[in-house]
Amino acid sequence: MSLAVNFAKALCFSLLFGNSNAETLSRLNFLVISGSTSSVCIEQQQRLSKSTFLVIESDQAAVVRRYPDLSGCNGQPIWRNLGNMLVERRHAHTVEFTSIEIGNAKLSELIGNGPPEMSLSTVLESIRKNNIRFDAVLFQQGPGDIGQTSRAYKDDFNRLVRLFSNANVIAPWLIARHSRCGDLIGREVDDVQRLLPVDFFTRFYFAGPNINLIEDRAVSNGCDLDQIGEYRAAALWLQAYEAYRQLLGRARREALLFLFS
Amino acid sequence: MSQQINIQVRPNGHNYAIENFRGAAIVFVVLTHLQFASRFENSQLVEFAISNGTTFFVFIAGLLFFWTERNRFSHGPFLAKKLRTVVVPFLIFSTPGILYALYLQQNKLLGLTDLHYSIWAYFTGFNVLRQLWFVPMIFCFYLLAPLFLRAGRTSNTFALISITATLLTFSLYSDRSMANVNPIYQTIHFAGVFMLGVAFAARYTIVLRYKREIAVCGIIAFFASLMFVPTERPQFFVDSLFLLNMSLLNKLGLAFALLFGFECFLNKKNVLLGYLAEISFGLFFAHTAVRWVIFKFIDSEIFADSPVLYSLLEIGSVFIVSIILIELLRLTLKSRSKYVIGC
Repeated sequence: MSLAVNFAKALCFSLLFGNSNAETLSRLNFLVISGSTSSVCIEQQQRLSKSTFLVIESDQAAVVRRYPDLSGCNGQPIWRNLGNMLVERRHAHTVEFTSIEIGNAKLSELIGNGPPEMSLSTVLESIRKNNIRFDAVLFQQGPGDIGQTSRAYKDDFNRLVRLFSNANVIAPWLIARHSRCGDLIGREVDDVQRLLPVDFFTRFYFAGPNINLIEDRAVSNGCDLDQIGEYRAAALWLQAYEAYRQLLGRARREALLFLFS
Repeated sequence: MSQQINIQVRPNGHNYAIENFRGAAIVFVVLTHLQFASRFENSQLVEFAISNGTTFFVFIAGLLFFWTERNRFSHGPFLAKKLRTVVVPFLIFSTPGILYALYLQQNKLLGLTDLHYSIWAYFTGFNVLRQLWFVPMIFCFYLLAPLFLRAGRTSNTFALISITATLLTFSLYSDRSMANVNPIYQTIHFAGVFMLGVAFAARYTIVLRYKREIAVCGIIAFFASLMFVPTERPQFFVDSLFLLNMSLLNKLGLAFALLFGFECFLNKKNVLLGYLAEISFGLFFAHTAVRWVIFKFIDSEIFADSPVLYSLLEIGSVFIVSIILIELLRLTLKSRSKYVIGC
């Protein structure tokens, strides 16, 4: 009886006042899947640990590298900026990124319809073997699929998500709108990236930033962002992450999850 | 009063207009959960026109609840009957969906253990079979049944209209919860529609005097609301408050048009609609699973250039296979089938 009373009290209280979701996490671990936007750059950062950096480049043989193997830093890449911003905004004490860069490749090439060297299997195996847990997947790809139909792009995207979930990557996907390369605009790709997160609770796809909004003068050569562009993209990612956290908090409350966890 | 209603409205214990309406309602519920609408160029309009068929079922639930229970209502036996015929099939259909979600580790996304996820999913009706959320909500209405019955039994018509208008206004200025996941919000939102059914049942003889006018008003509301198709819905229940719910207005209009249109022109036995009404609960439980299985074998790209052909294929196959499945279960289980598929 007292259990039922407590349940009812918790229900009423949370429906009326909600739960706070503003706590700082000790560590945030992101999986990044990004197209041609930034140069790979790793710098020693005291606050950012990047021990699990993986890189695939579409125009080369598949490369799986770990942090110490990568060196050289010419720009201000999105993810390092984002990591700094997340730490500064007290979202976490440490931010880790595992990055899969696919250049200007199509999703279909990434999920196995392309040349063997594009295969994700090495990365997926590495993630599975190391049992890496991610707080979210940050997905920023699209220019490579300009001209693709929305149905085909959506199917490829869902297949990509399945590949990762089979590798035990069970995490929310934050999907950026990134479907512009200079004057080329992939409207159907944009439709998918815009609409997938609408029904976010069913599949845990959330809206990422709209990278298409970054002005042309912040883009160095068609699709690639320059230093300013990368900083702006990181700021947009921060906004998207904060919106996602807020949305997730509200969703958990509306779904009455606090009564069951 | 009750005797009068029983004689006038339900001669021989049957009202064919309502039966036909139930048959039409389940068609809308099935169509809502299919994919064909997205194939059309004007997909948003098509989706809007066929969506929210639940409104019909909540309205019918209120109507039939009052007619069948007003003279014999006893809460305990009423709940026991609903547990057997509604909740048991719900548990049967929910279980594979929940196991599948656990296999996909969906519980980890929500930060729940397997056990907690299962309890939560049964409680909310959140499932890969998307329509199952209806059952926890309708069970809330069954729990609140004495209140609705009391409101419907009042001899004070002004009070009845006031209660109904208040609740219905709230329904029209709110929306469902996010992903239909909160049965409490769903109940609050649909309470006005259920109460409208109760009120109509309580004064059906009076309402019938204006059946043509109500049907015409329904048609006008249905088509007028098609001109205001919202581009997006509020994500959360609280965000939807005080915003006119065009989808509900659209479906209430269509409900009036269909029910009172049938009262005017089809208040007689219709083999097809009568049959669909008879197996409506079975169709409700089975159709999404059937669609899922069928399209495991059919390429989703089929008839990519012809929305009409694709629609015929999808709608036809889902109805035919669902009906075959229901009939096989009814043949096998005989009278016990209502505890498995609700009919």
